[in-house]
Amino acid sequence: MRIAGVEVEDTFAEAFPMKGARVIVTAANERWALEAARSFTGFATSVIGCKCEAGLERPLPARETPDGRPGVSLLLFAFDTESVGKRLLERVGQCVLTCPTTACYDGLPAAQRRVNVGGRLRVFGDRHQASKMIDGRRYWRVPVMEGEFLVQESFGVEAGVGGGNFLVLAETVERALAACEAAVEAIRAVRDVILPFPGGVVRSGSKVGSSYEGLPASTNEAYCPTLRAAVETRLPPDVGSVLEVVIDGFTEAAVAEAMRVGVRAAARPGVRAITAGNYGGKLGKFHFRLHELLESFPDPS
Amino acid sequence: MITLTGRAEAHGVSGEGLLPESFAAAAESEVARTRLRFGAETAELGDLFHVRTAPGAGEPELRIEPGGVRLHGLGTGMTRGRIVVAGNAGDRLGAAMVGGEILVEGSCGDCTGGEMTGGFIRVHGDAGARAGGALAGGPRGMAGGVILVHGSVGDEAGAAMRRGLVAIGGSAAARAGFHAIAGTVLVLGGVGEAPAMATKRGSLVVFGEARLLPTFRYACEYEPTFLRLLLRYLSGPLAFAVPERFARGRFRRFAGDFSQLGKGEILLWTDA
Repeated sequence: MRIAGVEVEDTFAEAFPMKGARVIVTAANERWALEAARSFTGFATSVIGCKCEAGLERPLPARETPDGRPGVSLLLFAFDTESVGKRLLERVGQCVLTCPTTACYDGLPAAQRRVNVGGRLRVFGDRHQASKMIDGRRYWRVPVMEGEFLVQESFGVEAGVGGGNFLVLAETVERALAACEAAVEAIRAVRDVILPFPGGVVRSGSKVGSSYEGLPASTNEAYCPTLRAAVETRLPPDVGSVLEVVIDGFTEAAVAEAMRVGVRAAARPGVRAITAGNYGGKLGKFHFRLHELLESFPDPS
Repeated sequence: MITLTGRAEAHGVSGEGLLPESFAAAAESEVARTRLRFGAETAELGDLFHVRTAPGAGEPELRIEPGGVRLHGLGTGMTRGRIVVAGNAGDRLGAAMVGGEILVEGSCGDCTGGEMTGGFIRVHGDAGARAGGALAGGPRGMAGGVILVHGSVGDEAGAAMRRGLVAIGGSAAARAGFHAIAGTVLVLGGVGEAPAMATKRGSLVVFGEARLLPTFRYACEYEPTFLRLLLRYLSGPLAFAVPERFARGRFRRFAGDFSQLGKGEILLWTDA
């Protein structure tokens, strides 16, 4: 299949079940909401190395937030509910509570599965904290030097899908970057997904295992241009750089939509092929076939 | 839905037991035979009210057009459904209620929502003393739920309350939030003498005039984020009119009452 002259391989991305939370952070202005977002989503690219994957879903205008201030919607994914709770506790405690003027709310109010976050962070108030029930939800007011930090007691956890992906094989790194930047821009419009890697793009796609004992993942040499002459390469002759876009989301449909719009946006001059990463279909329960995604939703143009 | 239309002049009638859930599947004649306490006597409901029933879907509803009948204790212990009073109600409206909704188009007497633990009460007019407070001789006030009084209230609104919200569109008389253990009393107007006297952990939010006891100490002027949530909740889902200017501005925080724990607060709105 060719999209805008770019070959799209007949393969699939293999993704895994995860658990996720949505965190709404507000602040006095957009700048500080984004500062909290940067801090909260830092060191959260891969669940293997960082214990969770997190990212900015989208900025929120004041009219869409619980307290009428500018905010951000952040998603965090981990392997199980307990891990999501632990990571939320760490990141809300260290990255949001500490950030001037912020408040922190649950973005999954209908979720049946809940983890206690504000109810545990409250003890930072050293018995000066106070709670308020508003519209059936409990919030904690924690006094801080700047004023008062407001955090919701419990956060919802829902099932998610981690590891949707596609690889952009381009002539040069500049062409690969331009294609991936366009893909990231297009995916930003899709709800319920995040791109956990820096700027939404990863240059160090990995394979399972390594030649070293105890190292669970290592460089995907088949796609490394510098190793073309030394290993069994998957690179066409005129490909000089490969970048990957990794997508986590709350639903299979959201991840599929993100992949679809991303692949379409990435298909541009200088890109030789687009493919996807998988493990032969034996490890992940979600398979996103590139051709099916693109055929099911034809390009309106 | 059951509709009761007053057909006599009668004060001091106990409305305890008049609950929408009790009459959910009752016939008119059965409802009319319900006995109500009336002073030292009892009376049949049908002697005081004209009873009409109409099939309805959803939660049971009881509509009362009281006329000259003043019902006390209406909605006591209510767990679900809806009571609409197209006029005035007496004392102890929604006392100890657990759930459901009571709407009063007029005013009501003392102890509205006294010792309630859940549910919702809206009074379009005024309410008497101890709205959301403890019932006579009781140690604790409301422990949950919401009371909205669009008009003004008498003394000791929210007295000894443990949880919940009492929002008052007009003013509150003396000792609003008296001895509150926790919970929130919000007054869009002014408050009378000794506000939040002896409170332990409660919040009294005042947008009008207030003269504080010396046992309250000034802490700071700031914008409490929880009040943004609360005001949006009131003016949005609860349709409780909050003037636009109150959404702006800051609050002066006074901690107290230091004759007690000192962990309560009075938040006084100040125009920014």
